[in-house]
Amino acid sequence: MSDFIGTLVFTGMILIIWTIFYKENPFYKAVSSMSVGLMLAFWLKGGFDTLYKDVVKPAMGLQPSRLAVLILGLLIFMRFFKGLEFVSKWPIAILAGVGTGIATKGAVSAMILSQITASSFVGADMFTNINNLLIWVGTIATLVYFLFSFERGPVIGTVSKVGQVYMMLAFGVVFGMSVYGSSVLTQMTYLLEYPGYIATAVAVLVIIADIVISMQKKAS
Amino acid sequence: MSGKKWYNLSVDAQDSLVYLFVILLCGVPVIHPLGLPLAINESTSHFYEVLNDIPEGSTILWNEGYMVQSYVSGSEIAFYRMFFDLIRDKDVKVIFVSTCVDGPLGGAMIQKMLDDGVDKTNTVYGVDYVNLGWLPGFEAVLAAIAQDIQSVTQEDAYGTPVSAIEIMQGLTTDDLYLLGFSCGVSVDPWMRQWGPLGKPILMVGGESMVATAMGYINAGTVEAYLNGNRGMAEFEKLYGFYTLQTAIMDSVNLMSLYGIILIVLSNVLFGRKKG
Amino acid sequence: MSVLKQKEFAVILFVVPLVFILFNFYTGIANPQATELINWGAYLWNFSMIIGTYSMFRKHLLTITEKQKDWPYSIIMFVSFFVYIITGYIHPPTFQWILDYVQTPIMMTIWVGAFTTFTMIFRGARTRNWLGVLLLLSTVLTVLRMAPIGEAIWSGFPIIGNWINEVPNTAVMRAITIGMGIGLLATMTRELLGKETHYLGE
Repeated sequence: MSDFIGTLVFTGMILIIWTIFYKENPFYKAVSSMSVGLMLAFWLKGGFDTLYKDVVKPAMGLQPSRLAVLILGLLIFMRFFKGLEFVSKWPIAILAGVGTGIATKGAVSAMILSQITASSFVGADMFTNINNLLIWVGTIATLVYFLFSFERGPVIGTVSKVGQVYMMLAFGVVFGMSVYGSSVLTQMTYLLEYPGYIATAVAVLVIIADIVISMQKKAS
Repeated sequence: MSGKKWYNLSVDAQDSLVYLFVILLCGVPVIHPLGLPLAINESTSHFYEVLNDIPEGSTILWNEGYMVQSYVSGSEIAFYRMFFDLIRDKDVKVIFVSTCVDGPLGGAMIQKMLDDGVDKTNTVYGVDYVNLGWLPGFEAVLAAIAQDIQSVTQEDAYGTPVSAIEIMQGLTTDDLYLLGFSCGVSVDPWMRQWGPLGKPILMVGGESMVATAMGYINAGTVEAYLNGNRGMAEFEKLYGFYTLQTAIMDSVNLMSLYGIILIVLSNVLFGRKKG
Repeated sequence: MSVLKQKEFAVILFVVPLVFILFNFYTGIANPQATELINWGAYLWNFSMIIGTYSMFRKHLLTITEKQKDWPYSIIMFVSFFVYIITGYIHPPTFQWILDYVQTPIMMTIWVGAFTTFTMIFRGARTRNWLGVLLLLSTVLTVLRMAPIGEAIWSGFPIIGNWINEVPNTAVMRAITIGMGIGLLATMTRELLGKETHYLGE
């Protein structure tokens, strides 16, 4: 029974959101607002649970580093106290420093060095070697395209044009992947199979009734 | 007569037509599956082989982060089931964790897979596998995993202290044989944090994400990958367990043709307007 | 002015963890301390999320108290928030039910990505020059490579599509990745020198 009602509710949510394609309506706005509340609650619950088990509990056991981070975290709320706003910047600065350190430490090896050393060696297969050469031509041409500090003379202009060709092909791949991956079959499965089609039938009838009423109003 | 042509519809009407065709074309396979053959790509075969070749007794980590669509369609059930086959057949240990940017949905996904998706016969929680749940912090948690797997959380998803869980006792990041993740957003954070470890990395990603990750794939930072919907459907075919994911291939075929027709139509109409 | 109140003190608090993490990464010294600092980042991120939630709440509370446009929807937001988070703690099965049957379809559908992709194609996939034609050609070949029907139409589509993915696409993505890596280093340098202080709200 719970599954039956749940599936009807599931289908109802999809249909209400899709009514935006017909016209803006209060049901859609209500579900949009509800989605904000639900997402916030979902995130916060996960956040609270993690903070409790990994920060508050160890801090209550007087583990020094977790006690320190708990205090730092609470200092963020100093922004609401006049004259103490500057204190709230300290934990944010630490957070930003840690975040930058984390992002940067892997950038050199993963994002630069490994990219430079890849496909840089001649192997036995001629086709692979040609492809690797073409990859390098494209990489350099694309990098040159983004060098805006240099005047686009005949050499840089030509190389950046080659880069543009490569980029068009690459962005076509990314665009093509997003075109390919677009499907609403999962939603349609719920809308067209039992018990979802009950909700679908009701929704279609409601929309037809709305169209008829609007046409009658226009006619009169 | 005004001579108004049929395609001189208002913008709203044109959009409505586009949406209507999307709905109709995705509805057709539900009523009548097309069942077009699906060839297995080399990338999927390689992904399957890498999983199959995991040495006996190894410990692997799976970071769940795919999107809500997967939560509903069950597209990842096949390789979760394969993890449990590896647990039974090769005494492999699996650590499940989520750093999903969609929030705790990643943790919910792991739980759903463990509850409904896999066959847990002859496996013991805490000995063969552990669920560390969803941990907020995204790249910071990935970095913590790379530094020291013991440090990422004090308790598992069910409140058991990590120190009391057999699989985690004495485990270091170095002991992990393989790291895997599923994700719908940019792949860069995983590459930055896990790339320098030099361990095999498996990736399951959305189509657009895989396209942008080609640099890492070509450099060998990613050992093997499944390419979005198609990759997961191919894996289901290889593994022999089917979900809604395979059915999605039918609608993908129709939507792909529809997309191409729209591109051509858009340019034809644009050309006629210019003319 | 007190040293603690000066901007430079906050910059020092930014620089020290950054340098320490990099120092640990490249030397392997002080691993446990660096690990703990990295975990601090995750926990402080959590706290900042709570602040973000408060800001959102404040905005909606103002909407309700001042009866601004669409204020009833702000009430719906609050009600759904409190019902969901409370059931999470007092009745987990109901929480799970809401997740499975209410939140999941909303999350799956609200972005209407599939629909907007196709209207974007219809409106925007128009070209005026040969570079645009290249992009659209690459799009079509990629779609026919990925969709099983492409191979059913002609076996050459996957071959051509794979080549485009593995050569030009890889080349550009490699260039973009290198550029992003260099950009990250450049931004870090600016931040170390105190020229970037966006994290202080400036």
